[in-house]
Order: sequence, then structure tokens, then C-alpha cells
Amino acid sequence: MVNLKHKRSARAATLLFTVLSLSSVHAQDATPDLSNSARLERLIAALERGGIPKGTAQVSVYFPPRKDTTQDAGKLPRLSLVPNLIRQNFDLNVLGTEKLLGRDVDKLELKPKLEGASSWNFWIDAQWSTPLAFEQRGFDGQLIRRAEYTALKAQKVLPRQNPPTPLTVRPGLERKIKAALPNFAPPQGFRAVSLKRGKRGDLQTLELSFSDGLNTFPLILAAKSTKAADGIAVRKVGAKNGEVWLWMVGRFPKSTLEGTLATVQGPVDVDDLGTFADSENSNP
Amino acid sequence: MKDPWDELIDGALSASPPDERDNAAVEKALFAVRKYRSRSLFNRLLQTGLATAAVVAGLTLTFRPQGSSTGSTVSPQYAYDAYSEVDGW
Repeated sequence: MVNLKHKRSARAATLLFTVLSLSSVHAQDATPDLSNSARLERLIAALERGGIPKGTAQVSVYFPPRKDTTQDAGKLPRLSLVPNLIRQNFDLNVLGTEKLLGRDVDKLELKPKLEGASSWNFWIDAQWSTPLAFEQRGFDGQLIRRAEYTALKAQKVLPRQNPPTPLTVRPGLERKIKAALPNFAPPQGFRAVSLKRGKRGDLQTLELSFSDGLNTFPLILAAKSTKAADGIAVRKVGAKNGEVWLWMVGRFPKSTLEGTLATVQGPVDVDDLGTFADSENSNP
Repeated sequence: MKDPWDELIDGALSASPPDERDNAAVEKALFAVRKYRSRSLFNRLLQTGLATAAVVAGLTLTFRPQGSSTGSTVSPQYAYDAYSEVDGW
């Protein structure tokens, strides 16, 4: 009698264990019911530290214009991220799940809160938590860039050895810009992330860059103008020791490009900015 | 409408029978014709020269090596290169 009771209890326990195990497996398979902010954090982590699948990729760039629009690569290109600005300037939309190269992927969209900036779509591998494809679309919906895996070898993902250091907003640099470029205001949501000296042909330049978290554009100070072209605005402004040309490059509406440059009320202090760039480079 | 030089020649030739012509007037007319023709040739050469110079200048400016500069303006490729560098693609 006692033995029978034990047997029944054991069967009941086994059944309960089986049911719990099955429900647990089911919970792992299904896409977890996460809040959007949790999903955004997972996406940022995937872009920053996600593993690198072994395979072949294809990278297409439509802006800036170039001869060979599409090229083959061993992996997806690195994105210049500023995580804090992504949280501040983008809304995450979950567009559903898809199959890519036979694997389950979550399709996610980062839509800019502010007009004029580019939006991004990501295809994140559900199991590996790493992107298998992403694309950038301009303010007008046009495809600017797309990178995607075209084949995966051995269904294997390699851990990222040296995760890239994310860009950060530089308040010190922004104070310097405010003093050297009077009244300059980048497009809303964009913050200064770097300054360096450059050399384009024989031309010495000072090159600032701004980011909204995912989209980055340069503002170049040079002694010469550049020819008008798609996505480029130029303006000549007075400087403390003469004149300087400002070039802004980016996939923005023309009014944004020209309006941004128009905010500068000279005279520009090129030397001060140059000294700051030198101190930055010598003490990174 | 007749060219004034043609009128002058016509006038000189129709003024009198061949044996009574004003030879001075005929000489004057022929001189004028020669001058007109030489000036016309000069104009044609000038036009051809100018057109050739324009074509050569146009070709020189159009087919400059990519990324080079002309005077106070440089190629937009410099700006695009800066963009690609900061963006990392």
C-alpha cells in the first residue's frame, strides 16, 4: 500500500517535472515579451558587443556616391555608435520576425525622433543576438547603405575579440566649438564627438564630427571651397586671420545643410580650434 | 541686300564700255574686294582659333585627375572622403 502511494507520488512528480520542463523550453523558444526600452538595450548591446558570424557579406553604399556601389566583405562593417544619443534620439519599433539565410531574425527599426535624420533597420539573429543585416534610409526613405550576410559558414558565430570603443559626446569640445564658431548650432539631436587635423590633397583641414547616435557627419574648415555636389553645402565666413570655408557633408535635406552653416556668425577662430585639435591628438 | 563692295564693282563695270572704263575706279573696286576677302579669312581663322581654345580649355578642366584642386576650389571627393572616414564605411 505504502509502495503504491510512493509510486503514484513519483509518477505525479515526474509528470509535473515534464510539464514544467516543456513549458520552460517553450518560453526559451518564443521571443521574450520585453519592453521597448529593454529591447533597445539588447539591440545596443548586440551592435556593440555582438559576435561575428563566420561567412560572407555584401556591403552597398549609395551615399557618398562611389564607382563600386556594392562590394563583398568577410563581415558587416562596424557602426559608429553613441549609445546615450541612440536612447535619446531614436524610437525602437519591432517590425516582426523573419527568416534570413534560414535563421530566425527579429526585424527592428530605429526611427529618428527628429526630422531630417536617417532611420535604420536591423535584422538581429534571435539565437546569436548579433546583426545579420542592417540598412540606413534617408529622410526621404531612400536607401543610403545596406550591409548583409549573403552566406554563413558552418552556422558558427565567433566571439568579438576587441569590441570597438563607442564614441562619446565631448562637452569640452563643444565649449571650444561654441567659442571658435560663434553661434554654430548643429542639426537638432547631433552632438560633437571628435576633432582632428586632416590633409586632403595639398589642403590642410580641421575636421569636426557630430553624431546623433547612429548617423555621423563631418564639418570641415578649410582655406578653399569645394565644388557643389549631392549632400555637400559650403559657406565662406570671416575668420580672425582672414576667411575660412566651412563644408558640411551629409544625407540631409538641402535646407538643413545650408541652414546649419548659416548659423555661424563669424569671426571664426581657426587657430584656437587647431590648438585644441593638437592637444586632443597629443593627449587622446 | 547687296554688299557695298559689290555695288561699287557693279557700278565701276557698268559705268562705260570696256574701252572707256574708269580704270582707277576698277582698280579701287578690286582692291576693296581683296581687302574684304582677306578680312573675311582673318575672321574665319579668328573664330576657329577661339573655338579650339574653348574646347581645349573645357577638356582640360573636365578631365582633371579626381581629387585635385583648381585655384580656390577643390574636388567634392575630399568632402566625401572625410564623410566616409568619420562614418567608418
